[in-house]
Amino acid sequence: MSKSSRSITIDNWIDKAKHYVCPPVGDAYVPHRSLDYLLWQDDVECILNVRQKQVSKSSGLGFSD
Amino acid sequence: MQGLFDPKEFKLTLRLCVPPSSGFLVYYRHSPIVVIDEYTGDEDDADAPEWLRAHRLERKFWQQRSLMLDLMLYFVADLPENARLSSKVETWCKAISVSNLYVLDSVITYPVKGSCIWYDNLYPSTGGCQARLSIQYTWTQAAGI
Repeated sequence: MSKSSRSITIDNWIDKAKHYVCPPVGDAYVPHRSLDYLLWQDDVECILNVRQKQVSKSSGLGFSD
Repeated sequence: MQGLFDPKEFKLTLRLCVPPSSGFLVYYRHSPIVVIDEYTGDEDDADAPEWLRAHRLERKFWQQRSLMLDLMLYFVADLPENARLSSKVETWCKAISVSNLYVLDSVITYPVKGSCIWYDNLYPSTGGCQARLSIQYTWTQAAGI
């Protein structure tokens, strides 16, 4: 099975994003209500996992008898 | 019965975690887990995606919230595996965005990325509606409306 365009896009995304491993850190010198303060804070943590399942060739053939 | 050479099915899942400092309700801290890609074959295949090679590791990194909300909604709509999660994900995305703050849009526009997604962070110590009402009140006062 060849690599799909979706997989290529996701691989590229992970490759670029994987370096941002540190949570956003506040700057003590930035006023609490300034817009700079908001810019570093507006991140979410992405957690990626791979689930594996064995697919049996004999199953799903649709034999009814 | 499973055989030695049966193909394996791999699914790459994504979960988002919102930091407590963002001011959203703790109930919505973790997003539903959605499938974002899948591959059937062997992890050693030449054409296997890169994300498969490190599948024993849980990978964590940080990305912009608005970008990830868009991606979550895209993956839910695009992959049939996520169909049953559709309403859950939409509810979660609404809960951690302020796109429903139509009142704020009419009160003030602020020159940050042309969006009002930042307003809910103005009062990190308060949550949800309290923060929104406070912001609305403050900006209304400031604008002299």
